Amino acid sequence: MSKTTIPTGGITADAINGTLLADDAINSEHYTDGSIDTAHVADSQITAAKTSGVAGYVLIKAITISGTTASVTFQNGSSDVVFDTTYDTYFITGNDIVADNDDDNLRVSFTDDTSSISYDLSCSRSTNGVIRDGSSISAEDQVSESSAAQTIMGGCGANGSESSSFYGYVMNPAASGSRERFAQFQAMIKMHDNKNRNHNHVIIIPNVVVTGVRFNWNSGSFAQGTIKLYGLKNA
Amino acid sequence: MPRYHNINGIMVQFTAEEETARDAEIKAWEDGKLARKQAEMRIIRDRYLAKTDYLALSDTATISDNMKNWRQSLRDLPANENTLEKVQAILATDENGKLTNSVWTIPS
Repeated sequence: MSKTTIPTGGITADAINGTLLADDAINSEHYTDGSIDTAHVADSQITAAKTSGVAGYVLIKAITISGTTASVTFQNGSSDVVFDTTYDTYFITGNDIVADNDDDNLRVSFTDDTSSISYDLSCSRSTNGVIRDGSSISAEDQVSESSAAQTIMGGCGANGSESSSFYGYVMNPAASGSRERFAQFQAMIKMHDNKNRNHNHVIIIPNVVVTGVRFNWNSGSFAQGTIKLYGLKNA
Repeated sequence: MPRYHNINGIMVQFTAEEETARDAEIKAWEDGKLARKQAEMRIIRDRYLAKTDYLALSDTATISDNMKNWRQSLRDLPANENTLEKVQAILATDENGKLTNSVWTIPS
Protein backbone atom coordinates (compact mmCIF):
# COMPACT_ATOMS: atom_id res chain seq x y z
CA MET A 1 0.00 0.00 0.00
CA SER A 2 1.39 3.32 -1.00
CA LYS A 3 1.51 6.21 1.47
CA THR A 4 2.09 9.75 0.27
CA THR A 5 1.80 11.44 3.64
CA ILE A 6 2.84 10.61 7.16
CA PRO A 7 0.58 12.02 9.87
CA THR A 8 2.04 14.30 12.51
CA GLY A 9 3.55 12.17 15.20
CA GLY A 10 3.56 9.20 12.89
CA ILE A 11 7.25 8.63 13.21
CA THR A 12 8.62 9.01 16.69
CA ALA A 13 12.04 10.27 17.52
CA ASP A 14 14.74 7.84 16.44
CA ALA A 15 12.14 5.50 14.91
CA ILE A 16 14.39 5.34 11.88
CA ASN A 17 17.87 4.81 13.14
CA GLY A 18 21.02 3.07 12.10
CA THR A 19 19.58 -0.39 12.62
CA LEU A 20 16.70 0.19 10.21
CA LEU A 21 18.41 2.43 7.73
CA ALA A 22 20.80 0.24 5.81
CA ASP A 23 24.08 1.47 4.45
CA ASP A 24 23.43 3.11 1.10
CA ALA A 25 19.68 3.28 1.75
CA ILE A 26 20.20 6.93 0.96
CA ASN A 27 22.96 7.18 -1.58
CA SER A 28 24.28 9.49 -4.23
CA GLU A 29 21.26 8.74 -6.43
CA HIS A 30 19.13 10.60 -3.90
CA TYR A 31 21.57 13.43 -3.49
CA THR A 32 21.59 14.13 -7.19
CA ASP A 33 18.00 13.51 -8.19
CA GLY A 34 16.69 16.38 -6.12
CA SER A 35 14.69 14.29 -3.64
CA ILE A 36 16.93 15.64 -0.89
CA ASP A 37 17.24 19.34 -1.53
CA THR A 38 17.54 22.58 0.37
CA ALA A 39 13.96 22.25 1.57
CA HIS A 40 14.99 19.16 3.54
CA VAL A 41 18.42 20.25 4.73
CA ALA A 42 18.64 23.79 5.99
CA ASP A 43 21.77 25.87 5.50
CA SER A 44 22.07 26.17 9.26
CA GLN A 45 22.27 22.40 9.59
CA ILE A 46 25.09 22.24 7.07
CA THR A 47 26.82 25.11 8.84
CA ALA A 48 26.44 23.32 12.15
CA ALA A 49 27.88 20.15 10.66
CA LYS A 50 30.80 22.03 9.15
CA THR A 51 31.64 23.87 12.34
CA SER A 52 31.48 20.95 14.70
CA GLY A 53 34.10 18.28 14.90
CA VAL A 54 36.29 19.77 12.19
CA ALA A 55 39.58 21.47 12.92
CA GLY A 56 40.85 24.14 10.61
CA TYR A 57 41.79 27.72 9.91
CA VAL A 58 39.11 30.35 10.46
CA LEU A 59 39.66 33.58 8.57
CA ILE A 60 39.29 36.43 11.04
CA LYS A 61 40.28 39.42 8.92
CA ALA A 62 41.94 40.08 5.57
CA ILE A 63 43.52 43.46 4.94
CA THR A 64 44.36 44.31 1.35
CA ILE A 65 46.68 47.28 1.23
CA SER A 66 45.95 49.92 -1.34
CA GLY A 67 47.83 53.15 -1.45
CA THR A 68 50.42 54.12 1.06
CA THR A 69 49.83 52.58 4.49
CA ALA A 70 52.38 53.03 7.26
CA SER A 71 51.31 50.01 9.31
CA VAL A 72 48.92 47.07 9.27
CA THR A 73 47.48 46.09 12.64
CA PHE A 74 45.23 43.37 14.01
CA GLN A 75 43.92 44.62 17.34
CA ASN A 76 41.59 42.61 19.53
CA GLY A 77 38.08 43.87 20.10
CA SER A 78 36.87 45.77 17.04
CA SER A 79 35.78 45.17 13.45
CA ASP A 80 35.18 41.47 14.22
CA VAL A 81 38.84 40.95 15.05
CA VAL A 82 39.63 38.63 17.93
CA PHE A 83 43.16 38.25 19.18
CA ASP A 84 42.58 36.75 22.58
CA THR A 85 41.80 33.33 24.04
CA THR A 86 39.26 32.53 21.30
CA TYR A 87 42.01 30.51 19.61
CA ASP A 88 45.12 28.92 21.07
CA THR A 89 47.07 29.66 17.93
CA TYR A 90 46.82 32.45 15.39
CA PHE A 91 48.12 32.14 11.83
CA ILE A 92 49.13 35.15 9.76
CA THR A 93 49.94 35.31 6.06
CA GLY A 94 51.46 38.19 4.12
CA ASN A 95 51.21 37.83 0.36
CA ASP A 96 52.89 39.89 -2.36
CA ILE A 97 54.26 42.38 0.14
CA VAL A 98 56.02 45.38 -1.41
CA ALA A 99 57.57 48.40 0.32
CA ASP A 100 57.47 51.86 -1.13
CA ASN A 101 61.14 52.37 -0.14
CA ASP A 102 63.87 50.25 -1.64
CA ASP A 103 65.96 48.09 0.69
CA ASP A 104 63.54 48.32 3.62
CA ASN A 105 62.87 45.87 6.46
CA LEU A 106 59.42 44.65 7.50
CA ARG A 107 59.00 44.38 11.25
CA VAL A 108 56.47 42.89 13.64
CA SER A 109 55.57 44.27 17.06
CA PHE A 110 53.08 43.39 19.78
CA THR A 111 51.01 45.17 22.43
CA ASP A 112 49.30 44.21 25.66
CA ASP A 113 47.33 47.46 25.84
CA THR A 114 43.56 47.75 25.71
CA SER A 115 43.47 51.55 25.71
CA SER A 116 46.07 54.17 24.78
CA ILE A 117 47.51 51.40 22.65
CA SER A 118 51.23 51.35 22.04
CA TYR A 119 53.07 48.58 20.22
CA ASP A 120 56.04 48.58 22.55
CA LEU A 121 56.37 45.09 24.05
CA SER A 122 60.07 44.36 24.23
CA CYS A 123 60.75 41.02 22.52
CA SER A 124 63.78 38.96 21.58
CA ARG A 125 64.40 37.19 18.29
CA SER A 126 66.66 34.49 16.93
CA THR A 127 66.89 33.99 13.21
CA ASN A 128 68.41 31.44 10.94
CA GLY A 129 68.39 31.86 7.21
CA VAL A 130 70.16 31.63 3.90
CA ILE A 131 70.96 33.96 1.05
CA ARG A 132 71.20 32.48 -2.40
CA ASP A 133 73.24 34.41 -4.94
CA GLY A 134 73.32 32.54 -8.20
CA SER A 135 74.80 29.15 -7.53
CA SER A 136 76.31 30.09 -4.15
CA ILE A 137 74.51 30.07 -0.84
CA SER A 138 75.51 31.49 2.52
CA ALA A 139 74.07 31.34 6.03
CA GLU A 140 72.68 34.47 7.59
CA ASP A 141 71.91 34.05 11.29
CA GLN A 142 70.94 36.88 13.63
CA VAL A 143 70.09 37.58 17.24
CA SER A 144 68.08 40.58 18.40
CA GLU A 145 67.50 41.38 22.06
CA SER A 146 65.05 43.70 23.78
CA SER A 147 63.45 45.42 20.85
CA ALA A 148 59.81 46.31 20.36
CA ALA A 149 60.02 46.00 16.58
CA GLN A 150 61.52 42.76 15.32
CA THR A 151 62.57 42.39 11.69
CA ILE A 152 60.96 39.49 9.83
CA MET A 153 61.83 40.46 6.22
CA GLY A 154 65.09 42.22 5.46
CA GLY A 155 66.24 44.01 2.34
CA CYS A 156 62.90 44.13 0.58
CA GLY A 157 62.91 45.90 -2.73
CA ALA A 158 60.52 48.38 -4.22
CA ASN A 159 61.06 47.69 -7.89
CA GLY A 160 59.06 45.41 -10.12
CA SER A 161 61.42 42.46 -10.15
CA GLU A 162 61.50 42.04 -6.37
CA SER A 163 58.83 40.41 -4.25
CA SER A 164 58.32 39.01 -0.77
CA SER A 165 55.86 37.01 1.28
CA PHE A 166 55.69 35.62 4.80
CA TYR A 167 53.63 33.45 7.08
CA GLY A 168 53.76 32.94 10.81
CA TYR A 169 52.13 31.69 13.96
CA VAL A 170 51.49 33.40 17.28
CA MET A 171 51.08 30.83 20.03
CA ASN A 172 48.75 31.43 22.99
CA PRO A 173 48.96 35.22 22.81
CA ALA A 174 46.40 35.82 25.53
CA ALA A 175 46.70 32.77 27.73
CA SER A 176 46.93 33.46 31.44
CA GLY A 177 50.08 32.23 33.08
CA SER A 178 53.57 33.24 33.86
CA ARG A 179 55.49 31.99 30.86
CA GLU A 180 56.61 33.76 27.72
CA ARG A 181 54.69 33.42 24.49
CA PHE A 182 56.22 32.50 21.15
CA ALA A 183 55.75 33.68 17.60
CA GLN A 184 57.39 32.18 14.56
CA PHE A 185 57.64 33.72 11.11
CA GLN A 186 58.96 32.35 7.85
CA ALA A 187 59.97 34.96 5.29
CA MET A 188 60.65 34.55 1.58
CA ILE A 189 62.24 37.37 -0.37
CA LYS A 190 63.21 37.45 -4.05
CA MET A 191 65.73 40.22 -4.52
CA HIS A 192 67.38 40.37 -7.91
CA ASP A 193 67.56 37.78 -10.64
CA ASN A 194 68.65 34.47 -9.19
CA LYS A 195 69.13 35.97 -5.72
CA ASN A 196 66.83 35.35 -2.80
CA ARG A 197 66.78 35.42 0.97
CA ASN A 198 64.84 32.99 3.19
CA HIS A 199 64.60 33.34 6.95
CA ASN A 200 63.01 31.62 9.89
CA HIS A 201 62.45 33.81 12.96
CA VAL A 202 61.50 32.76 16.48
CA ILE A 203 60.29 35.64 18.63
CA ILE A 204 59.85 35.42 22.39
CA ILE A 205 57.14 37.72 23.72
CA PRO A 206 56.89 38.69 27.42
CA ASN A 207 54.44 36.87 29.67
CA VAL A 208 51.59 39.33 29.33
CA VAL A 209 48.16 39.11 27.70
CA VAL A 210 48.91 40.13 24.13
CA THR A 211 46.06 42.07 22.51
CA GLY A 212 47.40 42.95 19.09
CA VAL A 213 50.03 42.52 16.42
CA ARG A 214 51.39 45.20 14.06
CA PHE A 215 53.50 45.14 10.90
CA ASN A 216 55.47 48.14 9.66
CA TRP A 217 58.71 49.08 7.91
CA ASN A 218 61.94 50.54 9.14
CA SER A 219 61.58 53.72 7.16
CA GLY A 220 58.82 53.60 4.59
CA SER A 221 55.28 52.40 4.05
CA PHE A 222 53.49 49.55 2.32
CA ALA A 223 53.03 49.95 -1.41
CA GLN A 224 50.93 46.81 -1.72
CA GLY A 225 50.15 43.44 -0.19
CA THR A 226 47.51 41.40 1.58
CA ILE A 227 47.83 40.37 5.20
CA LYS A 228 45.38 37.89 6.69
CA LEU A 229 44.75 36.80 10.27
CA TYR A 230 43.38 33.32 10.92
CA GLY A 231 42.47 31.47 14.10
CA LEU A 232 43.45 27.82 14.33
CA LYS A 233 40.28 26.10 15.45
CA ASN A 234 40.24 22.91 17.47
CA ALA A 235 37.95 20.08 16.39
CA MET B 1 51.64 64.08 4.12
CA PRO B 2 49.95 62.39 7.09
CA ARG B 3 50.64 58.74 7.82
CA TYR B 4 47.99 56.11 8.47
CA HIS B 5 47.69 52.86 10.35
CA ASN B 6 45.41 50.24 8.88
CA ILE B 7 43.85 48.83 12.06
CA ASN B 8 41.52 45.89 11.46
CA GLY B 9 40.89 47.21 7.95
CA ILE B 10 40.15 50.78 9.01
CA MET B 11 42.51 53.65 8.17
CA VAL B 12 43.47 55.60 11.29
CA GLN B 13 45.60 58.72 10.98
CA PHE B 14 48.75 58.97 13.10
CA THR B 15 48.51 61.21 16.13
CA ALA B 16 50.92 64.13 16.36
CA GLU B 17 52.96 62.15 18.91
CA GLU B 18 53.11 59.14 16.58
CA GLU B 19 54.24 61.36 13.69
CA THR B 20 57.04 62.78 15.83
CA ALA B 21 58.12 59.34 17.04
CA ARG B 22 58.04 57.96 13.49
CA ASP B 23 60.11 60.87 12.16
CA ALA B 24 62.73 60.18 14.84
CA GLU B 25 62.70 56.47 14.06
CA ILE B 26 63.22 57.08 10.35
CA LYS B 27 66.03 59.56 11.04
CA ALA B 28 67.81 56.99 13.22
CA TRP B 29 67.38 54.40 10.49
CA GLU B 30 68.78 56.74 7.84
CA ASP B 31 71.68 57.70 10.12
CA GLY B 32 72.60 54.02 10.37
CA LYS B 33 72.59 53.46 6.62
CA LEU B 34 76.36 53.79 6.20
CA ALA B 35 77.01 51.21 8.92
CA ARG B 36 74.49 48.79 7.37
CA LYS B 37 75.98 49.18 3.89
CA GLN B 38 79.50 48.71 5.27
CA ALA B 39 78.36 45.53 7.00
CA GLU B 40 76.91 44.28 3.72
CA MET B 41 80.19 45.16 1.98
CA ARG B 42 82.18 43.21 4.58
CA ILE B 43 80.02 40.12 4.08
CA ILE B 44 80.63 40.23 0.33
CA ARG B 45 84.32 41.03 0.86
CA ASP B 46 84.71 38.01 3.15
CA ARG B 47 83.09 35.81 0.53
CA TYR B 48 85.54 36.98 -2.15
CA LEU B 49 88.50 36.49 0.17
CA ALA B 50 87.29 33.00 0.96
CA LYS B 51 87.19 32.18 -2.74
CA THR B 52 90.97 32.71 -2.97
CA ASP B 53 92.02 31.56 0.51
CA TYR B 54 93.37 28.34 -0.94
CA LEU B 55 96.07 30.30 -2.79
CA ALA B 56 97.39 31.69 0.49
CA LEU B 57 97.72 28.36 2.27
CA SER B 58 101.31 27.77 3.33
CA ASP B 59 101.51 24.32 1.74
CA THR B 60 100.31 25.45 -1.68
CA ALA B 61 103.30 27.71 -2.24
CA THR B 62 102.68 30.23 -5.00
CA ILE B 63 100.52 33.31 -4.83
CA SER B 64 101.19 36.12 -7.27
CA ASP B 65 101.88 39.68 -6.19
CA ASN B 66 98.84 40.66 -8.17
CA MET B 67 96.67 38.37 -6.08
CA LYS B 68 98.33 39.51 -2.84
CA ASN B 69 97.61 43.14 -3.69
CA TRP B 70 94.02 42.40 -4.62
CA ARG B 71 93.39 40.53 -1.39
CA GLN B 72 94.94 43.39 0.58
CA SER B 73 92.73 45.89 -1.23
CA LEU B 74 89.69 43.88 -0.16
CA ARG B 75 90.89 43.94 3.45
CA ASP B 76 91.33 47.71 3.19
CA LEU B 77 87.80 48.31 1.89
CA PRO B 78 86.17 49.14 5.28
CA ALA B 79 88.90 51.66 6.09
CA ASN B 80 89.00 53.29 2.68
CA GLU B 81 85.32 53.28 1.77
CA ASN B 82 83.98 55.35 4.62
CA THR B 83 81.19 57.41 3.09
CA LEU B 84 77.79 56.28 1.91
CA GLU B 85 78.52 57.38 -1.66
CA LYS B 86 81.76 55.39 -1.76
CA VAL B 87 80.20 52.25 -0.30
CA GLN B 88 77.23 52.45 -2.66
CA ALA B 89 79.67 52.69 -5.57
CA ILE B 90 81.42 49.55 -4.33
CA LEU B 91 78.07 47.75 -4.01
CA ALA B 92 76.71 48.89 -7.38
CA THR B 93 74.98 46.14 -9.37
CA ASP B 94 73.68 45.71 -12.87
CA GLU B 95 70.07 44.93 -13.75
CA ASN B 96 70.71 41.27 -12.92
CA GLY B 97 72.06 42.02 -9.47
CA LYS B 98 75.68 41.34 -10.40
CA LEU B 99 78.31 43.48 -8.70
CA THR B 100 79.84 45.78 -11.28
CA ASN B 101 82.68 47.55 -9.42
CA SER B 102 86.10 46.40 -10.64
CA VAL B 103 87.23 45.77 -7.07
CA TRP B 104 85.30 42.48 -7.22
CA THR B 105 87.16 41.21 -10.26
CA ILE B 106 89.41 38.35 -9.18
CA PRO B 107 92.86 38.66 -10.78
CA SER B 108 93.79 35.85 -13.12
